[in-house]
This record gives sequence, C-alpha cells and structure tokens, in this order.
Amino acid sequence: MGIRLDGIGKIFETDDLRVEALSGITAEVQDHEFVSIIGPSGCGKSTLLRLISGLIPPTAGTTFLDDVAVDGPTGGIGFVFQAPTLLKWRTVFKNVMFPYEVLASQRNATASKAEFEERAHKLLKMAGIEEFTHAYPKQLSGGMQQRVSICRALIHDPDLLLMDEPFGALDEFTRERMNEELLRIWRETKKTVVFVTHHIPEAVFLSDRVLVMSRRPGTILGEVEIDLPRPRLAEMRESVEFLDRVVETRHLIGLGSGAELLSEDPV
Amino acid sequence: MATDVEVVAPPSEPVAPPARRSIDRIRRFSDPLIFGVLITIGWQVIIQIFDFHPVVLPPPSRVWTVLSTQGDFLLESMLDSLDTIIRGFLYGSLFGWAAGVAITYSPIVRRAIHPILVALFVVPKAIFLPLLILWWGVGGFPDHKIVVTMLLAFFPVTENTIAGLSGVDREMTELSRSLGGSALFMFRKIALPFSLPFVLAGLRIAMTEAFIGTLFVEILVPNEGIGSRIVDAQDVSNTQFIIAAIVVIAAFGLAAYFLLQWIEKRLTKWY
Repeated sequence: MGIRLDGIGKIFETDDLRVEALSGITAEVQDHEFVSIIGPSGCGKSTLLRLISGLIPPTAGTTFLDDVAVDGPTGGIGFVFQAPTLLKWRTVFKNVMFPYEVLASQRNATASKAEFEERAHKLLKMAGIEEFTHAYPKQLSGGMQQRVSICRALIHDPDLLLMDEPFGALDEFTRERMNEELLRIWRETKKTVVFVTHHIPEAVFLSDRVLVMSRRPGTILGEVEIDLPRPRLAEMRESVEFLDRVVETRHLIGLGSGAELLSEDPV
Repeated sequence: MATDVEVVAPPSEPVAPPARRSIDRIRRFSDPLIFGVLITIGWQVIIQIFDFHPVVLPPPSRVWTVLSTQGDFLLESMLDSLDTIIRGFLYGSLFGWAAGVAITYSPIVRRAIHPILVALFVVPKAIFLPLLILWWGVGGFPDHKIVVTMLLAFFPVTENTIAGLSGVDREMTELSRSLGGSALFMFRKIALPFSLPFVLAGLRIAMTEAFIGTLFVEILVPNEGIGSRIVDAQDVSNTQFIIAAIVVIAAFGLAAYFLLQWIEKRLTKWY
C-alpha cells in the first residue's frame, strides 16, 4: 500500500491551549517500503501515524492511501502501539484473534474465522511464541508481549503496518533482537511499514528510508536513503556503511559532535 | 519491566509442592478456628475470675444454649433480614453500576449528577430514615429498609465502576477503533471486561454495606428481622440471645463475603 501525505497540518485546540503539532508535512511511502520516522519527543510522530490510520483527522492537507483520501479508520491497517496493549483477560491466542472479532462485528472480515485461526497459529509460530498460545499476557515478558501485539497487527493481513515506537520500552539487547525478528517477519509478509522511533540506529537498521522530523511544530527536515544490502544481520551494525548512515541521520537532526559545548563561545 | 525474550519455560504460576499446599489449605481454616476456641476459653476464664453478672457478660455455655435451643428462631429471623440484604444489595449494585457507566461516559451526567451523589455519599444513610418513614410509613412501599440498604450498596459499586471504566487507556480504545469497531463494541469487548475486577471489588464492599444497612435499620426501627429481635432481647436483658444473634450475623456475613471473593477469583484468574 502506498501512502501520500499532502501538506498535512494538525493543530490541537482546547479552551486554553493551542498546540500546532504538525505543519506542512508532504511525503510519500512506496508500496512494500519500510520507512522510519525519527525525531525528538513531542515532535508529532505519533500524531502523524494516527492521521495516516484515520484515527484522527488533519486540520490541513490530505492523506492518501493508494490514492484514496483517508476519512476515518478503514480496517486495512495493522497498528502496533508503544505499549503492547494486550487485553489481559484474553489468552495470547484470543488477543491475536481480536481484530477478527472487530472486523466481523462490522461484517468486514475478509476471511472465515477458521482461516483467521489458522493464520493466528502461523503468526505465533513465526514470532516464536507458539508455546504461549494459551497463556495470559501477565505470564509473558515485555518483549514477548510486544511480539503478540505484532502478530495481532498482522492477523487480518493488512497492507500497511503502522508501528509507534514499539520497542521503546525494551532494553537495548531485547530491542536489537526484536529489530532482527521484525525484519524477518517483514521479509516474509512484505507489508508497507511506517515505523516511528527516536532511536537512530534502530531506524537505520530497519529502514529503506528514514524521514527526519523537527521539533514542534513537526515538519520534515529531510530524509536519509538507507541503501544497505538486505537481508540485514546483526553484524551490519558494526560496519562503516551503517555508522555512516547513523552519522548522516544525526547531522540531519542537528546532533553534532558535542564539541561546540567545549568551545569558549558556545553557539 | 521484565523483557527477557530468552524465557522458554512453559507458562505456569509459581506453585508450592502439593504437600505444602494442602497444609496451607488446612491452616486457612484451622488457624482462625483455634483462635476462636482460645477466645472462648479466655472468655470463660475471665467470667470465673471476675465473677461477672450473667446480664453483663454471660458465659459461652449460655450463648451456646441459646444457639442450640433457639437456633431455628434465630435462623428464621436472619433469613428475614437476608431477604432485605440481598434485595437491597442487588438493586443498589445494579443502579450503582448504571450510574457509574452514565457518569463515566456522559459529561453532562458527570458534571450535574456526580457531585450530588458524592454529597449523598458522605451523609450517613440512616439520616434518611425519618424521611422515608414519614413518606411511606413502616412497611410501606418502597420498604424503608430496602431503600437504606440500596443507598449503602450503591456507592461502592458506582465509584469502583467509574474507576474501572476510566482505566481503559487511549491505545486500547484505538485498537478497536483503528479496525472500524463501534463505540458499543469497544464498551462490550474492552471496557466491560477491563472494569470487571474493579466492579467485583465494589460488589464485595457493597455486600458488607448491605448487611450494615439492613441491620442498622432493624435496630433503629424494630419490625422484622434479626436486628429487631436483638432489640427485643435487650428489652428483657437477654444478653446471651444478643451475643448468639451476633454470632449468627457474623457467620452469614463471613459466608457472603467469601462467596463473593470466590466468584471474584473465578472470574478474574487472568488479573
């Protein structure tokens, strides 16, 4: 699924507060592309994801999914939140099946329940958590819970996967493992992925392209083409080419060497 | 936060070895029983030493005599009260739950009604008794006992329902909404089960409140039920009957509490 953002702006207004979260965002994501959006906290990255999914409307501009203007959630999208957001009264399996129930309640399910169940088993196996199929979320670690939530986002075979800092709460070791797992899943399913993060090496490791956003109001400062070979393995993180892209991204964000803090006359 | 993805042990609760568990189970009943026996012995000893008059403090043997000879009468009176307790509990909880739902989801109800409910909450419910009797008389409709019991059962359920439903976070709502789920679907499949542990905890409190409400009214306005029989016994200085009645009430209260706790555990294993 291709995405086109055309002059997107978003202003949040309450009685005594007016926040311009996004301003003049124009960008494109190709079908099957893995694009990361990176930027400082509060730059409107999550807001942008919610606009793409149709959960909230923009105050300016239009979002197009495969050239169709978005005006509300469609059901053809998989959303992975920062927290696993599992329904803790349901087993892992029933959590993964939740999208089926929502879609069926709208008579919008594209396949039968049996087909969904079969896919749920396949996904849990692919994510390496099939032995926890009938466990409750509280019995799983944070990393495993997030795997369940990724399976849930894929169960209805959406063309587009939106991920909002899904590994932000994980430690560095687990995060790297999850990055590799995610790429493996992506290779097997070939979804279009928009991945929000504020972790630069993560964005570089995963993406075909990294979009860099500014502080509020969020605008797109530029993009870094990650033309590194795939499949990407852990050892790539130590290569010069990888570090070059990280540095390039850092500079685009405006993170320098830190030397300016040592000079007599700080800028 | 635990984040170890290497964990491959099958999911299971940490459990004590079987022998240890059955001992724990026995002790859960034996410990309070032994303690109760000790109190009874101590009670008897104190009476022997200080030579209390039986009207002030009758010996346990006399209380036991009441329990064994007038047991049927006590039980009958208790069941009379229990009828009011259970009906007041059910109606009060039902209205309390509905009020909690309305307050959570309707800003108008929240602004207009909630402060009034809280104001009612802090007023001792027995204060309404003179009014209720003035309006309907003793034994009128709706029964003043049930109304006071309902009022007491109402608030814990309302407050816990609000707390439970408000705990549903934005992402859980978005999970349903991003797939096109309706507001009703979200309520049924997410908000309801999410709030269940809170509501059940509220029900457990409401049950104890219902006991308090019914018995309090029976003592203030003697009519039917075990509370009224306690007042009768007081009139003739029948202390052992009062204590026997307290034992019966406590036994039923305990049973109701543990019944609800058991239901709570069965329904919220995942929590």
